[in-house]
Amino acid sequence: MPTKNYTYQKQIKTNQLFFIKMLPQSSPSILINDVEVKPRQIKILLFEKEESIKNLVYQQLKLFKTFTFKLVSVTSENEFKRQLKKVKPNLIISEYSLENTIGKEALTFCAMIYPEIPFLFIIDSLGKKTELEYLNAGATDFLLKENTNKLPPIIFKALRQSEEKNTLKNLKQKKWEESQRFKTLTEFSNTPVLVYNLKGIIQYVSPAITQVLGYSVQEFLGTNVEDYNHPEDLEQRRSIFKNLKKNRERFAKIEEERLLHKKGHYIWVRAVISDARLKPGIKGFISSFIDITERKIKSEALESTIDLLKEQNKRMLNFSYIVSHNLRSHASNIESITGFLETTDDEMEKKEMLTHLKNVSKSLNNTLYNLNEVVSIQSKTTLKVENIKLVPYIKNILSSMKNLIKSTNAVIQMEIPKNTKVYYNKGYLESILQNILLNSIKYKHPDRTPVISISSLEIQNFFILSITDNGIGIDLNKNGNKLFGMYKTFHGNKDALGIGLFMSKNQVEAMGGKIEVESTFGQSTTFKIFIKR
Amino acid sequence: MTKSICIIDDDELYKLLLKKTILKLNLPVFVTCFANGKEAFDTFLKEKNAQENLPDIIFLDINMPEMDGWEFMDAYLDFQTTISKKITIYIASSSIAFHDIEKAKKYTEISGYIVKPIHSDTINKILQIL
Repeated sequence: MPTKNYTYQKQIKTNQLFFIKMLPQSSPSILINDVEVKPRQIKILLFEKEESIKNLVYQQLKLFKTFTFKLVSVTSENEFKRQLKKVKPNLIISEYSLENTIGKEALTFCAMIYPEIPFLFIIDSLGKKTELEYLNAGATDFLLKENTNKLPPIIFKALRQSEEKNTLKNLKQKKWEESQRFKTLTEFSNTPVLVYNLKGIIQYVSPAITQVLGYSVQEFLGTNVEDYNHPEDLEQRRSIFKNLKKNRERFAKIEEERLLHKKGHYIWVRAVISDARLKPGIKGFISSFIDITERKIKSEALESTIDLLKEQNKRMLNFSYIVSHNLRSHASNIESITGFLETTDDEMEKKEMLTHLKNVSKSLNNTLYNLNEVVSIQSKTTLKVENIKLVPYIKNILSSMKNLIKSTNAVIQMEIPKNTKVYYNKGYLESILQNILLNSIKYKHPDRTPVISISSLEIQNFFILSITDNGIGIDLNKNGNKLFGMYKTFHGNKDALGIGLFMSKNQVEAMGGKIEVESTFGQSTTFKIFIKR
Repeated sequence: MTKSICIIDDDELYKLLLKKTILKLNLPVFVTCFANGKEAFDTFLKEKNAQENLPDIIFLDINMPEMDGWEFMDAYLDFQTTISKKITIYIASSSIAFHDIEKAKKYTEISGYIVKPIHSDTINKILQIL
């Protein structure tokens, strides 16, 4: 039977290899089964006073061919202890005396510091009780004096057992360390790891959960993972989870989602879910996540900075266009006028041109003044802001317009809660409101008494102040993009300057808000001022 | 033959000065002025059946209330197909902004972009090539 033969050969090989493994590195090489190995020297500590026995042992050891022995012989207990530490033998052979307990003490000492070294006793006769006692104390085997020829197999056996014991011990140690390592990996890490079943019920969570989300492990166990999701992120998580189950992928990533902290706020995390339903010891989904709140806040700040820069850049472009257009129009008129002044001899014409020149210089001055205003609004980094009680504040503005309101019979409806307060620059708010209210009356419908209502609304980050009129309205499709531009007029109104709304827009934006307009042509217009809270 | 020049601009002083510049050339030229695109276009529509009253040359401003230069051009493109008279249009603006100049190039109906003020030499040249 080839199988039997193979098993047998394997057995031999294993035996050979076992001893080869024990050979020290320094000895000359030998070849066994084509494997180059070095013969080994086995160190034996012999604790024996009787010369005859010493000789017998020595004779027996000589019979070994494949490896050599170093025999260290001692006769006293003190010597034994010294040599034990010095030689670190692979094997100990000791006398066994019924009269005194020297052998026993040697064994006890050895078992204490080198439990892995096999300990053989040579005995005169068998006395089972004491042997059991010695075995219990750590002895490996016994050999009768008259049977010293059995020493080689007993040595083999002892060495082999000790080696197996060592291997097993190392293996156990390694396994323990490994399990300890993995346990520590999850338990000691600051990344929470959780295991939950198909329904989302949490079955395991690592202590890091307390550090990141504030809950204790006990609080977290048994709850559902979805309980901690931000409602807006739930759909995303469900669809990722569904795909993970369906596609049989090993894991799925959730780039970002919000989880509820015990204190009631949400933190941003990046999560990974692994499908470990088929893994023994887990049989569920493993999820781990890291806190990315700080990064998220930073990137949001960066985005808003980019938006701000874009907005500023846009305003800069607009401003350069205004400068290019408005200043140049005056310059070109001056150039024409001086041209006439140079060439004409007619006194009347000269006089006329001087009048024009005066007018141009006046408008140029106005333009420069306005441009300066814009620059100062846009470049002001620190604006004085204060709490403004809206209702009395608006009433005050209205009283400054009372003549106009009276002459047009305008009706003003205040729909702002009595104690509403906003945090704003007083001068800007006055100029913005005055400007919009004046426009509402100025562009009233010829057939209607002007009715203007002022109301407020609070949304997430803004307080919105709305001013609605029943005037002629603005065709936003046609003029929407020009409405807030400088010197853009479109009503064909001779006294329109095209500066008011441009200034208002700049002021609102300088305060971190925005201004919007809604209008139905011929019916009404609503201006919305967004005030940052 | 008397040529007719039309100035469309909301800057009253500019119109007055330009008109004076043109008249000082002592050429057989007739000048009309409009305050914005809409005013001009409405008048042109009325003259559709008396095309001899339509101008030969238009100096068109860009920034104007009601109907600006570009809006006028868009309206004119439709109007142009209904008339036989050749009208030469120049953009005359104080803007030296690149995007305005580029935009003017996109209209084949625009013969040139003149940065204000318009000198008498320019008017002479324009009238010669007409």
